Amino acid sequence: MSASDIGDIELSAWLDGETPPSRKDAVERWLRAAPGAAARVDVWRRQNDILRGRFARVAAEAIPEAIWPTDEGGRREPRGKLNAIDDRDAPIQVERFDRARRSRRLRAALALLAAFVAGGTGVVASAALVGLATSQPTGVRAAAEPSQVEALAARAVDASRTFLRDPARPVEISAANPTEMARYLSRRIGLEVAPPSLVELGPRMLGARLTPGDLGPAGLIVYEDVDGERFGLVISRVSQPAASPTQIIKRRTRAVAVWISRGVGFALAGPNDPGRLTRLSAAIEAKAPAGAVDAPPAAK
Amino acid sequence: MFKDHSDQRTELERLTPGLRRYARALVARDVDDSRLEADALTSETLARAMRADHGARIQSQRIWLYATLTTLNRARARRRPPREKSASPDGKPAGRGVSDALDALPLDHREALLLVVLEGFTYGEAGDALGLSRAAVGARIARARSILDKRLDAAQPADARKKQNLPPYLRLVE
Repeated sequence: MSASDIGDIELSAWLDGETPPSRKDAVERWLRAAPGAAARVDVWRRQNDILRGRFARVAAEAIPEAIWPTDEGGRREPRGKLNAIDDRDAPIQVERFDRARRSRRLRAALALLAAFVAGGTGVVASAALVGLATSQPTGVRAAAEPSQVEALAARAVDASRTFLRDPARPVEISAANPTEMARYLSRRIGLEVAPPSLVELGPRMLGARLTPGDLGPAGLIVYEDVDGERFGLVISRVSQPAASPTQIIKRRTRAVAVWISRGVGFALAGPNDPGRLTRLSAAIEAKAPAGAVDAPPAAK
Repeated sequence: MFKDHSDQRTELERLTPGLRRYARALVARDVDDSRLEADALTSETLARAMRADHGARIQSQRIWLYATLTTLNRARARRRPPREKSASPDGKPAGRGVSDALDALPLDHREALLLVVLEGFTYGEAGDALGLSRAAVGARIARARSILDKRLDAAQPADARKKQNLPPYLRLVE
């Protein structure tokens, strides 16, 4: 092939209207003169027609509900499958404090709670609010403390809402180095944790991060399923280590499988699919040798 | 970039049909139900568009959407390797429809070809979406066309090919 031959790349670009003006004449001369060049371009032109013809109907279809559903207000809002965490999910505790409005201190605390809810750390603030409510002498009925299991579940939903929806950085430590990840978690949480693999059931471990817990930091292990759906597993020390069987707590579009075993609290947050959560939680329970071993405290 | 949320939604609605089309062609025969997979990818892309910080974005909404969907599809393809492509004993691919032809293209070639041919991107726009130079886009498209050509030609006996100018796939019904 000589230097003046026009190759496939230039012919192809010509078909796409991408030939720079300085080359136009040369290419068009070639097309007229070189045997087979025009036929080649013709074949590609027909490829284009076939492709466009084949897929034109997709663009002509009405946009399916599943891609672009309406929400309750009639507004359309896309619901991606990945991290479809409903912003209307409220932390469990908020409902308990509707009655506590009279005291000024409580009102201020409620405003603080609202700010925390917006930021996604509702459980921390509402735990403080519980403390506030129980110490008020004004005759406002103190709301009951949430049970340990409910608190764990709320923490898992809040942590999921805060961290899992970040497409690029849901975790601090990647699962690429599992030993290092387990060591970091164990040291900071104060539990010997070995986050279990769930890949044979679908979800692949992305990594972990810390999240607020009852007695110091808890671990949040993030898994991602083949379809992009993410699960968050909170592993936490609990103040009352009595064993508790797995319960499924639902929060609109999300659900949490929560249980306490061997002195450790587990809460697996994911989509509202109790069967799936149950199967995953059973696998976690079978595999995770977490125990309240006194791991060395983090170096200051 | 958008005055308010509803402005952006209108713009996304306008771009969604093309995005769905690109997704469908891109997934090709990688999974058993490409329709569902393509819509899932589109849905996720749209959701991210709604969540993203638009003020910070330098690309146009359109290029950003296609770039995001392309990335999501690559992640999907990495997680779930394409299913076993059925092949006859002599190694020739069994399917002869358009999706099967697209299937024969390496993913990065498929992306470039579809953005330009199906979605009307210029080489420059496709380069922005794919992180490539215009020259690289052009090279991939030329190669993609060559692969499509050869692949479909191989299914046709040589003398029949010579007899007509039409490529064999013109007679196929999808």
